[in-house]
Amino acid sequence: MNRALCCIWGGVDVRYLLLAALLALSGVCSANTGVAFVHGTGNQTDAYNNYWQPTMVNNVRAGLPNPANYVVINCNFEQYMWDSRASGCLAGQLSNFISSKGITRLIVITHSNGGNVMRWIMSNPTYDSRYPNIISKIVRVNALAPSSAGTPLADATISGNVFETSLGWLLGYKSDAVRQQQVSWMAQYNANNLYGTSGRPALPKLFRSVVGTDVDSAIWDSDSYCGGYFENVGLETTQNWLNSCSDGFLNCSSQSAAGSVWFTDKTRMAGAEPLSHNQSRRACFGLDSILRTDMSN
Amino acid sequence: MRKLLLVTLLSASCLAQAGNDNRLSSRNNDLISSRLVNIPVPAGQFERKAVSFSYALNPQNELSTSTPFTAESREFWMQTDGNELSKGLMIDTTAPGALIRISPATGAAAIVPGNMKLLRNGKAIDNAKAFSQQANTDQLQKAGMDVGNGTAIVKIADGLGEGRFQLMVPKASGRYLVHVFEPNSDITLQAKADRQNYLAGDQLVVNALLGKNEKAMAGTEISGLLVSPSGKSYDITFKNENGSLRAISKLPNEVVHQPGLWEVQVLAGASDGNLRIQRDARTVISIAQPTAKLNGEFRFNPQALSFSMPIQVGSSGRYELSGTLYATGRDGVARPVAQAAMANWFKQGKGVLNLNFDRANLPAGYGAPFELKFVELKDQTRMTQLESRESAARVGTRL
Repeated sequence: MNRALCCIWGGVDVRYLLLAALLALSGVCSANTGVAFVHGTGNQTDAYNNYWQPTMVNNVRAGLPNPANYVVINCNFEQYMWDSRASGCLAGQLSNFISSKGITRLIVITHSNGGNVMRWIMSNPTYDSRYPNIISKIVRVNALAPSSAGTPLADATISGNVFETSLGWLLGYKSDAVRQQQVSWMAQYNANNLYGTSGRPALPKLFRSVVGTDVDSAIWDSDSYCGGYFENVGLETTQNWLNSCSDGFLNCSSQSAAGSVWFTDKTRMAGAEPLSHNQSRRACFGLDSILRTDMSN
Repeated sequence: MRKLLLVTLLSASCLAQAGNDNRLSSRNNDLISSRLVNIPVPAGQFERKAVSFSYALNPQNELSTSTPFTAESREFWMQTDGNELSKGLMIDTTAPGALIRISPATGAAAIVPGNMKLLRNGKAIDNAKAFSQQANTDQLQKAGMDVGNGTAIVKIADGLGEGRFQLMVPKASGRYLVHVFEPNSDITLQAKADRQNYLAGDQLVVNALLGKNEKAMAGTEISGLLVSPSGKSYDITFKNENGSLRAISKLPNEVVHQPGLWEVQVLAGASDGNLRIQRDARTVISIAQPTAKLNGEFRFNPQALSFSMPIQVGSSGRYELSGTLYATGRDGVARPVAQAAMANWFKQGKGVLNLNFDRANLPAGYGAPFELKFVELKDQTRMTQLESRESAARVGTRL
């Protein structure tokens, strides 16, 4: 073989290209990738069993070079996103995970309001001295049905405020997290405290969403049972507060409001099934397989 | 090589001229305080270390000034009691498919959807035909709608159209809150504040409109409340100004210790023939106590692409300065290239915060002149915005 043809391609010495490729490969090989599961609204103490369920977590982490590099976050996301019990707790658990496992590449999987808490950390790196190190390790956030622009259902839950004010009635359970996810509140926070929405600076790392577009709750359809049948019956009712494109809790526009859209449910789910808000955190219709495959990238 | 060196030196020399103190520029819509207050540090855990951060932006992603949120309501709320509900509560709707939610106050009997009856002109409608959907508390809570125990929702079947209905709950007792939501109605109440961020004592302007397709309904009655995060409320009085409803109020100086936003709640009603049309709308604003302010000067370091800004601190706390660097491309157009922020803990007095954009974040082909935009000073301890300048400074000259 002609040595010149072998090693010079497009004016570049192929040996250098090979060397660069090997170096890049060695960089990936030496990387230590981990995944963090960040739950949505709620005060979780066992999100592994109660929020995500073992099938989802174990199937996804199986895609890692080292499946032991995972953490399931348990924090109090009943609080405002900036609260020490919310983002402060999340930062603590992520920092411990990064340091104890020597994580150099962190993939974060969030669901629902967990996306807002994660986005708080990425948008406010100066709020807590632990944030910059976490951001530096993040390669991307896979935000499953994030409530980036809030939900009218939070407004509907809270609206009794007018009467609370005048009568002192407290109707329903109203955490600060629900209050925060009202549409007008998220509009204010997106415009002033969070990045990644239209017209605002981008987030420092990739934040991409999986969007649920519909709810399937027919009693004769076995697909309704994935994630819990009764939960989906309730979702069908609450969908009246939402647009025609929604997952029963969030409008598609809210799920797509921050970062970029990775995919919408029907384009990737088995049988073109939609993902209701409960199903987008469970091993339904191959979602876990897609996330598992993503662990190796 | 010598030419490149010469250009680099000239460029550095030219840009360095901006190293002297300069005044920040301001525009009409900027938020700038002329006073300071000394208030206690709120309860909570706060970072005490200085933290700086910067990262590159994609110059092709345009940034814009955000506009205040416009609330648009197709719903209203009313109080009732068991006596009225057992006889039949009158509900006027403006479109088919209205949803009715009944929530019991403490001590009131729970509502079971199957026990609710719908009447029209005094005649009961068979439940199977009256409601197209029914949901109880458990189903709603599992769907993520955190309603109170004993709450139920029914949806009036589309085929029954709109107009006056009576909703009857035979065994109701105690007090109830009724929420009527008409997703298919074209009659809305819109409400919008003139800004997103205010300082205590500023003037609040709220514009509202009850009507259809931006056309106001005649004879609208309207009232409003400003509710602080602590729950304290202040009346807002609307006036009809050339057909538009507007409220102008001086914001209170209440020092709030709870986090959260202030709510502007607007309640409006009008008559359409025999029907009563009601709508309630809410939007939010931020009201800050002026705990710190920029002193209005800055120093630019062209080598480090760094802006240094003195601040005056009225109240101990953690303050963050952030901003976006615009650089000029080869086509002469300035675009956003980097974002930077710095925060630190300050006691009452003076301090300095820097925006270190880092030349490594500058994309190839971009350079001076630079513009510093969307500069914001925030109180991280009280979660308020203290100052914002859309276009704060222009520095450097293109050779």
